[in-house]
Amino acid sequence: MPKNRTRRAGILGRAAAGVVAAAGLVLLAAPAEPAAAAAITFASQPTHEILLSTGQTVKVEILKESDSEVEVNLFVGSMSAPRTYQRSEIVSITEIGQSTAGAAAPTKSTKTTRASKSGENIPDNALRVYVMELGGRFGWDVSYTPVNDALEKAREMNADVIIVKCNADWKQLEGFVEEKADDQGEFEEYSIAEAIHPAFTSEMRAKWEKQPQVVFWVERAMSGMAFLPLVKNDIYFTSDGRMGGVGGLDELFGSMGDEVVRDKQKSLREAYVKGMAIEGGHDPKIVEAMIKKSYVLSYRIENGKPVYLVGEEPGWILLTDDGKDERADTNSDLVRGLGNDSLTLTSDLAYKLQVSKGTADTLDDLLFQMGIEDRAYVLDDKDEDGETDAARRELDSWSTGIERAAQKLRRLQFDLGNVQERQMRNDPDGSKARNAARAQRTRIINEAIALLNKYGEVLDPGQQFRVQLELQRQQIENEKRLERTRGGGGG
Amino acid sequence: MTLRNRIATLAIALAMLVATPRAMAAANLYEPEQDIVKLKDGRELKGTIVKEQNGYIWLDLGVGPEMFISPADIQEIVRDSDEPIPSGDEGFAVKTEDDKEKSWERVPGVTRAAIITAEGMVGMQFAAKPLREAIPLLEEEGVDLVVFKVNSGGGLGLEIQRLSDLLQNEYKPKFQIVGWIESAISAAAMTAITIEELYFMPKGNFGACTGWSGQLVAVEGRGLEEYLYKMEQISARGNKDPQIMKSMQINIPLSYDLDEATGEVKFYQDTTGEHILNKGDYILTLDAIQAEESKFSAGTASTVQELQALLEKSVGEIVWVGEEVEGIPYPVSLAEKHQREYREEVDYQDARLGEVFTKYRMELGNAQSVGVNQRGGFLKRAESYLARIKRMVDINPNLGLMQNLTDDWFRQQEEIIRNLRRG
Repeated sequence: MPKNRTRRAGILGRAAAGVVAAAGLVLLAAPAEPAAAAAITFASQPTHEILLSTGQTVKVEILKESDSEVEVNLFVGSMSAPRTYQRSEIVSITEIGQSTAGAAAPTKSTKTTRASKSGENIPDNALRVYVMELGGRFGWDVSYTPVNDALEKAREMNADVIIVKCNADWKQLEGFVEEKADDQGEFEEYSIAEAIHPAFTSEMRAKWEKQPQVVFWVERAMSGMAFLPLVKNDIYFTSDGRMGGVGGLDELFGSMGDEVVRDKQKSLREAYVKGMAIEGGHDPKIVEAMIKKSYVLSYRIENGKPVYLVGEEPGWILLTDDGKDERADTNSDLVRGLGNDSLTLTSDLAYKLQVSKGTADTLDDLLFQMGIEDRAYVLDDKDEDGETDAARRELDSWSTGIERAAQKLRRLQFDLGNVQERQMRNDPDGSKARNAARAQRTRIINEAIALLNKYGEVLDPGQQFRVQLELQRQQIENEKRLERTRGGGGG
Repeated sequence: MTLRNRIATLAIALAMLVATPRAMAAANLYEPEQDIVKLKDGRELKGTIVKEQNGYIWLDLGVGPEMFISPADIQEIVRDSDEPIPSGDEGFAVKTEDDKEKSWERVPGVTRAAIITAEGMVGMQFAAKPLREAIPLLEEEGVDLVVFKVNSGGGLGLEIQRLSDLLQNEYKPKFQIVGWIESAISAAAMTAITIEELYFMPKGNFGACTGWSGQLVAVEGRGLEEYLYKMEQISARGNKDPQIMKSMQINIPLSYDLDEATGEVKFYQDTTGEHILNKGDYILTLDAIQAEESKFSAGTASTVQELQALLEKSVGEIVWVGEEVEGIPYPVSLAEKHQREYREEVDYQDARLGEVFTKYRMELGNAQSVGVNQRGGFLKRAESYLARIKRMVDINPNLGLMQNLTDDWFRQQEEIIRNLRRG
């Protein structure tokens, strides 16, 4: 079975990764600031830490301050680049060292350390980072049980930070590179996200003594998976990250039944998914724009924060139109990911709307964006692929298991329908043969039910198959009893 | 139509009543002792009294966990035996007056609060019966304030009035009650609106109260008007503007003005208010932000600690009643333990009913397919299964209602069995 993981390029060395990150600093300028070329130098040491209003902490050397802005050298490892922050972006400035004048030679850049074993040689002040990647098919490879099992491992390892990379399969066909269009997602997959998210929210609050920081890292969170990151405030994107493809609420139920009842069903579903966004501290209007093609939403930035307008007016940037008539997305728009009937977040847009706190393509970049790169220990990452091995094992074990279970169930169904009575010795009336066949059918049914006990949440969510099997088992028992009665006396 | 054909027709008709059976292992037949507990609501429960203390009894009905019955509900007990019933020290013991004084103390100025979860389907897991049974347990533990944590997608409309009456007439006189909304959809919202003081969880939702059945067919005409009127009355109990619930039931606008100075909110059944909740082309379900901004809710709390902080602004210091249980983020009181046990029992019965019903039909079919002289065993088992179905319905009458298992139906089945026995 294909492994559902994305191998991150480990091509760039440490210095090269630093250059990429430094270049990224330019691209991450606040929307109102023009992009500026970065003059990258090897500087001595940062002297201050600045906590930004986005929650990010950066290390800087302060060059110049005024009432409205602070000019700094921003540090990435041992390299720095000039940057200007507006006072409105800054929460606090804390001194961490002296000025760089006459400083010593550049120190070795801080390296994010992989702990090969949980608890092994991890400094007391280190942050234990657990990384898990949710890849494959949402609702098949990614469902409640494997996610919960992976989080249980994180709890056993006393993780301080859990990074959840969302990278669901969004390919048109397995083995092909072409991706689906934004209108090919299914809103009803929200129920899968709804089933999973308590593992990150209410259950985590109940089970963990010390609550970890949960960070969602979006590469492909399309269709139902788009709702999952919204339950937390800490979201980052990869540079080609996308989150959306759930714009089907308006069309749900088609023309079935009465319109007022369809409205009720849509309303409660909308409330569920908006609730998930509210729980994560996000504006529910964003979710509404993601799920309804008829919803018109615009935004603009005021005092560094996005403000939304339901509708469109001059001076506002249109996010989604009503998708009607000539405003409906064309095939040309959709295949290029340029549609605006419903909202799909890209890395750039998510950052502007402050849904995302930053963009990172590698784990090291992400840890830097989070401001913890110098304290982070990635737990149990022997192969240094940036993912905790225990998490990978849990998720892969489920994926493999469920594929096997699905194949096995198909086989068992076939076998059940093809059980035959075989002639047996000393069996004049054929009762032994019939009972042997019944016993075989019962064994097959029991085996199928055992598989459904483990994988039923995916293979038989409505339990209909299970119900049929149990009914068949009861009927077999009944046949035996009836035959005994007919053969030898009262019932 | 011959008798045989009539029976066959009835058997087929019975087949249409079978609930979808769920996974439960087959159990041996159980013939209960004949202690009879007659309740004040007219029901008679047959089983074995396995424990008794201070008038409370634990009755083994032969299916599921023992049923806990308060003396307040008992009319009469007819005992099969005069043997003394063990009072037992295990499990939770109902305290004597002396014991009560030892287990907790009334601290002046401190409000004793308990969380009760109202979860599952209205009329099944979320029902008036267990909540009524919880009242003496709350009193036992000296609870002053009850938090109803609601997480339900709705259910039976007929249970709404029972639940609202219970909250209004039995809970409010004895306790301060507040609601903590995780999800209150349809019948759950129509019940919870009885509570004046509501808090939401951040993911909370409340509304979507359109009545419907089958293939999304709406309740209309007289039935709709009855529900609209009922909800006007229930909204008044919760001191909520009836226009809010109306906008949750039918496509009708709802907007409001908020007086920033006084905090007063005025609702309108149109779109003239400054804040529009429903333009009239939708069914309203409030999220936590809408609820708080419109003062429908008194605040938003994601944890019991946050809820406590909000409540203490008005009631002062709070102490939570109950035991710490791993995996549950709030103390579990006796009343809450009872709700959890009841829900487990209902889930068990609901899952078993289909299986027992199928077995009952099979035994009838078996009896029908053999001669009169060979029917005895099948009919005895059929009677046993029928008795078990009766006990399940006695435990939760709504279960019978949903499956159309009325008293008439039971009488018909008994007659079928008699007829089969006679040939």
